[in-house]
Amino acid sequence: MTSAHIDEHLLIGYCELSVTAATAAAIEAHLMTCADCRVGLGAVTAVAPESSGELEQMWDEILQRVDRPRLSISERLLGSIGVRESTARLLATTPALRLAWLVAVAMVAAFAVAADVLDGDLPWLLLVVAPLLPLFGVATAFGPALDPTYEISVAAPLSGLRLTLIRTVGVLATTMPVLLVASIAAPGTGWTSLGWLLPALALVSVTLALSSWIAPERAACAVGFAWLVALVVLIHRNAAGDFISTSMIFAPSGQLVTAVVAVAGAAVVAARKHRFDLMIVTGAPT
Amino acid sequence: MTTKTIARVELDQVTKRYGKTVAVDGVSLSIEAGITGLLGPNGAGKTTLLRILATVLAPDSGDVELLGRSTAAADDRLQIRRRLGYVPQEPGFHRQFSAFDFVDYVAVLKLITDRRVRHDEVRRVLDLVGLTSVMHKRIRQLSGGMRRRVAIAQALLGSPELLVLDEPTAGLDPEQRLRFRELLSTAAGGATVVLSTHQTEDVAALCQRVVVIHGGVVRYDGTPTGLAALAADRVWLSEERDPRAQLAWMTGDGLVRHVGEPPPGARIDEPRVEDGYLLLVGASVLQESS
Repeated sequence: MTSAHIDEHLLIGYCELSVTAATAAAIEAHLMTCADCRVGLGAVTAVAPESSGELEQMWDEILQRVDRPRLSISERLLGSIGVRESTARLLATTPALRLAWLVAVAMVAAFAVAADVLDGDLPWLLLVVAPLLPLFGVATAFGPALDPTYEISVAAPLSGLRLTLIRTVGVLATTMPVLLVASIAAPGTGWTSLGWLLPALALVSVTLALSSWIAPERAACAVGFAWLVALVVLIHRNAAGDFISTSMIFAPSGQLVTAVVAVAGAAVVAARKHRFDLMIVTGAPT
Repeated sequence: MTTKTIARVELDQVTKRYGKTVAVDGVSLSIEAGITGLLGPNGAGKTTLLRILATVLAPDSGDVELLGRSTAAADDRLQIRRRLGYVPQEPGFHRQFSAFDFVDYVAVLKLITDRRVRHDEVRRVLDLVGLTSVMHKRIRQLSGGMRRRVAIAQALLGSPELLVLDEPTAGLDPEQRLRFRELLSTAAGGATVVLSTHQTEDVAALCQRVVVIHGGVVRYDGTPTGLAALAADRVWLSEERDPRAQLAWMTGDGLVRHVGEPPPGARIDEPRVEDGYLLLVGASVLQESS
């Protein structure tokens, strides 16, 4: 290094990180005040592609770390159980993955169980209510009314059915454990308190199938209403016996029927999978 | 260096109905690379047509071919979407997302799954729209103009060959609109851009071609200059409002500008794009605004 400007060999050494820390510090101090040497550094970097490549790589690393977006709690939790980062990003927008939804589900289930405990030895309220909870979770997971990015999502190359199923699995994965815990706490013997499980899957499956024609929130409302009407009609027609036998749906034969309905719904979804790639228009045309 | 195929849009007798309402009625268009503007009053069928171009809506009848592929086939539709950018009329955002998060989310939808590649691409498009400094701010904290730019940024992911923009300048102030013009003319590159707007100035400034749609039907298809020329010798100025004019309004310099059949000896003025547009759809525009 001359007293006026930094020697070119030193600049190359600086770029290649081969000078001592003290020399590097002296060079940096000089570069701060000398425009000519900064130009010289630029010229040296230009003729030293290996070192400039290293610098670029270092800069890229820094950028990746500093500019990395902060992941939401749900994304971090999903990542910790092995869900791919890109899938977690898709799931993060699902309302059913938010704490508020989980608290709501837990409260509804707790009230149902409490009412059943006070009422007698059958978990009838839990059996009626539990299938509706994942149903409405699914209804809010996608669709034109509740997903603000719906139209952009439909125009994207990711399959609409895949996005729908990813979010449906997300809803089921968060809602079902809460309901299972409620079932353990509910009155009843054997598998009785788990009688809601197959109807829940059937209702979700039919809702998904209907969502290939109409908006999912409308489909969920229609299916939920049909579920309640079916229970009332069956109980009214079969006046004798307890809730399980009069409602029929929670008896073994009824469970078989709900399983068939679940499979049939899934078959319709598979048959109409490309319909999920097109928009369901709910507003006025323009 | 690889050469991209020339982006094209081909519509043949495309019709879309909502119940008894015919939103798009037998539209046939062939659009080459460059910027094409769709002009038309509210309810003219612009958004429906753009949704069809964005492949999110299927027409009831007619053929749509984008980038050499038919939108009727599911596999072809997927291939088109890989090369398509779309800004809907009212782009929504998830409340908890920052600008970066939102564009990153759309990048996942666009199947850019490698995180590093995706993040680099997200930074690139946010830089293109000038949002680097606020990219980690939550979207709800951004101004309306910035949100529009976020929406445009997501459409630019992957340097699409076909850009479909539904009223991209809605809600932008004059300076932001100028910035948008600059952005689009640089970011669009050699792509085919189809945009709808109510701003005739945008069409005149940006578009090589303009299509006027009204009642679901194409009423004009040509250059902005040609649209202005429709009003040649049919625009005049006077001190008083002339009741024979099809349309008349007071200008900033105190004169009344008329569009229609001028009376003998009228002071003829230079026609603009908006004059030609108003001649085509003027009566219905007046009815809507009254």
